[in-house]
Amino acid sequence: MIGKALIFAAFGGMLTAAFSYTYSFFSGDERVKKIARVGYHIAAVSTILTAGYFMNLLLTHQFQYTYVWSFSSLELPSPLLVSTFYAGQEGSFMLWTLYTVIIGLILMNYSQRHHYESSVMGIYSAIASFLILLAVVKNPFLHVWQTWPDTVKPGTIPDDGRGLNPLLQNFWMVIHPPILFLGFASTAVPFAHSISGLLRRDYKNWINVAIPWTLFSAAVLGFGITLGGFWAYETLGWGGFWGWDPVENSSFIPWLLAVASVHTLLVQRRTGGFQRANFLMGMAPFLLVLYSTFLTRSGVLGDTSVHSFVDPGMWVYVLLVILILFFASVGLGLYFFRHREIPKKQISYAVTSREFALFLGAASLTVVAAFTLVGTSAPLITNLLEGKASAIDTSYYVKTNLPVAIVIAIMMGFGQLFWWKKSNSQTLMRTTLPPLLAAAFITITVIFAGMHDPAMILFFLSSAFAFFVNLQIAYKIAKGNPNYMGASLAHIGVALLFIGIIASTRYEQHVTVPLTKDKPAFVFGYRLTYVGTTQIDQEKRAYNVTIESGKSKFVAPLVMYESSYNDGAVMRNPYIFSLVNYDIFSHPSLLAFIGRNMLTRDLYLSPQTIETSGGNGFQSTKYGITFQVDKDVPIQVGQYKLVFKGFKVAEDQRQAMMEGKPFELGSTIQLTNKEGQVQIIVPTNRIAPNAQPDFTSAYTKSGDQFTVLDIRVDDKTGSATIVAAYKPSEKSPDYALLKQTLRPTNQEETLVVEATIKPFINLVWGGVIVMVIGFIIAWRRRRMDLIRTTMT
Amino acid sequence: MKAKYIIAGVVIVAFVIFGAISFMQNNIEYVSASQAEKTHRTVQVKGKWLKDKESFYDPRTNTFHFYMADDNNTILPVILSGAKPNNFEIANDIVAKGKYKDGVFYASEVLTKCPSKYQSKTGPQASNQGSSTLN
Repeated sequence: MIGKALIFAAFGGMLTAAFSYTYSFFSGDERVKKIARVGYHIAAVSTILTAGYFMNLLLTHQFQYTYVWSFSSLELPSPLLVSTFYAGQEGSFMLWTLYTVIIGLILMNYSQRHHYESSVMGIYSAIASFLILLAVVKNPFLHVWQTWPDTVKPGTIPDDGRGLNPLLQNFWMVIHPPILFLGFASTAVPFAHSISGLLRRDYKNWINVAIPWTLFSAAVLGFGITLGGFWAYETLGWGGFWGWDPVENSSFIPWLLAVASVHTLLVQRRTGGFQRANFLMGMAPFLLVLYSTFLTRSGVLGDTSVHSFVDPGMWVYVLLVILILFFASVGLGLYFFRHREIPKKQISYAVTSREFALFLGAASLTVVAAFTLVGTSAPLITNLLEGKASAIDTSYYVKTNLPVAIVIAIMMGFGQLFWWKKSNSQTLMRTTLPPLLAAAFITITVIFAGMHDPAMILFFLSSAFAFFVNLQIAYKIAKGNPNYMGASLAHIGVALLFIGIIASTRYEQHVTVPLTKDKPAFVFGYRLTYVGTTQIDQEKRAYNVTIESGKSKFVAPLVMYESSYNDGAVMRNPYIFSLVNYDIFSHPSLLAFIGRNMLTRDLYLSPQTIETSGGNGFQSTKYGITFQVDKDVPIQVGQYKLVFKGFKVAEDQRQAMMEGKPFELGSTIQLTNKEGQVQIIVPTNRIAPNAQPDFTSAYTKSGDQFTVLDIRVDDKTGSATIVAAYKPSEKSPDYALLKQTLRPTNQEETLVVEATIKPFINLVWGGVIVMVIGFIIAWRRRRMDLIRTTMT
Repeated sequence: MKAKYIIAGVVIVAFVIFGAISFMQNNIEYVSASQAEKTHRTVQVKGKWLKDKESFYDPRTNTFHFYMADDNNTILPVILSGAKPNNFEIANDIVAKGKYKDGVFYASEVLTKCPSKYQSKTGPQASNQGSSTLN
């Protein structure tokens, strides 16, 4: 009851703040503003207490609460137990609300100083009210018997909870969502400033106040997204750091707009241009956070993504729609109401001006966001146009965004070389040439190293150009005032990121190797041997693969297990030899190995499946022991030497075959037993389009059964292969073999491993870190600027 | 100034067309098994895995072979490049993405739909031990 009461108190306080601030803004009544502040503080304290109470329930294992039971358990270590706070939908909304409310406390002070309090806090409190309303609608404090009234008796206190999804049980779960949600929450601040500017007819100064917050959003969101990418790469075994999944896209799109708006806001600050557009740019990140939340939380994508989206229920859906419509119509409505009176400063700038480069860069970022947004919304769009939802292939994103990314890279270079208004062409030539030559040189090197795709060459060249230009500038600035090097550092980071993306995704090499136990295989110059398993806990099992290179030898535990939490689904965790490998602490010699081998590339080992079979790669089915045989290649199957001689169509079936009707196809199998007796048998398959495949087994004289299960013919090479099954009769000497294969033994285990070389993937991580540091430096600088201007 | 607007307009229109074409090319339609057999495009077929039929992983080609039945109960043999997908055993529905060729649906990806994955239907039971059975 306490929880519910606190949520209502928070909602009441926040609503009071929203209305009082708004009233105070329109009436100019200062006393009402005091009421608003009291309301906001009540809401803030209640929200913080709600979160604290909620956290306390989790930490003290109050399993009578549905949320606690659903996401936590006794065995979870403390950091993960803390992370269950945001493991479910209610909790993650609560985290978002909590951040929003706390940022609001800082913002209250901030906007007071800059004389924007009533308008900025009015709209901000309205946003916070809606977020709290989500918790009112979807109560996070439900008891288990309220959630499942039919199956759970009132007053039940379960002994233990269901626990946290093992996919989420790792370090990244502890830090990735909190950072990402901080980024989401912070986008509300530029939004509130943009609206406030429109309300006050303050078309200029609002941007100075909003810029540091936009930079903050860009830094935090960028960092949060990267942590998610690293998580996917390192633990989840997706094989890459980015999959263009709706959940990933939905944080990427607001970030792109935040970065784009940083650029357009800075143009206005410098030249006074883009006054109208900047109101929209200021609003965009927040509105897109809302839209993305709607996409990923409302269940609309339900059927078209890898993620299973839980349907949150009717009310949350409706509330999310109202939330988007409300703030979009407030923002856009106000903009259309005002936009005629926003002074349009004619800024004249040449193509070789910094304004133009920044404009083009921001526009390109917006285009990437738009392409990504359209792709992510594909199920909604196709549903509207065609009446049935269908998703889009991820190659769409690469195809559409690649040319735009090249433009972005070029502008990252020229944007820093151009002067404001117009560049002097001689100076421009002089400053462009050295980085361009350096980029050309390194590009030619990589062309010789094997890069032949023209689009990739262009992308590489422009990224390298951007890198050298910004490196040169960063060096110059660092000698002067390092506080000003934010932009050049951020651009260096993005250029490195681009190069890392090109190298690691376009030039990765991968092979799938079946590793039969104790039999080594050579992969990318390393000797890999599957040596056996180690049980990690009740469920998790490591399949140990040794890797040898020269004298070094290490064990890579590839984890694969059936997760009972996920109803027996197979979970696979890769092992990566990379610069970020924690095992160097327990195996110091690994450091030297990695230093020698992994500076420029990662070796990514991902377990695919384990085949435990009774020997010779046989598997057992209800048709007996399966085997695969190519035409005219003799194999030994139990007591028989077996040759698959080819296909045969009976006379009466030929007509049907010619007409494309269902027909019987026989597979001629020649068997020679130990005594040298030869016999031919012909099991048949009914070949019919759209029908259940139908097998007819054939029997030997002694009653052994042969069935052809699958037929594969390669048109190009003309080779034919059948997958067949052998079921020996009870009298057969092979009967024991059948029984043995039905009971899988561990004698012949084959671990199938996908081994991937990811060249220069470290540039991806390194690049992002440099970029985020750049954003932070820029953020600090703009804050300093602001403090300086408000003091004078 | 006018020229600038015209150029901007042309660029925007070009981007819209480019985006729309790419969208249409890469949009993967949901089709039935019999429709899939008639087209050369990459499509998606939704249906169920036929568990009692043959299914196996071939380590030599790194392919997983199985049969699925679409919503009209049309049966489709599927060869997936890669290992058996996650959650395959428990999936209520599966979606195979790929192309049909010569009697077989060559899937590049198989998505599994498990609505019950993150939410319990019945809540905590008297003996609250995770008693899921493994296949």
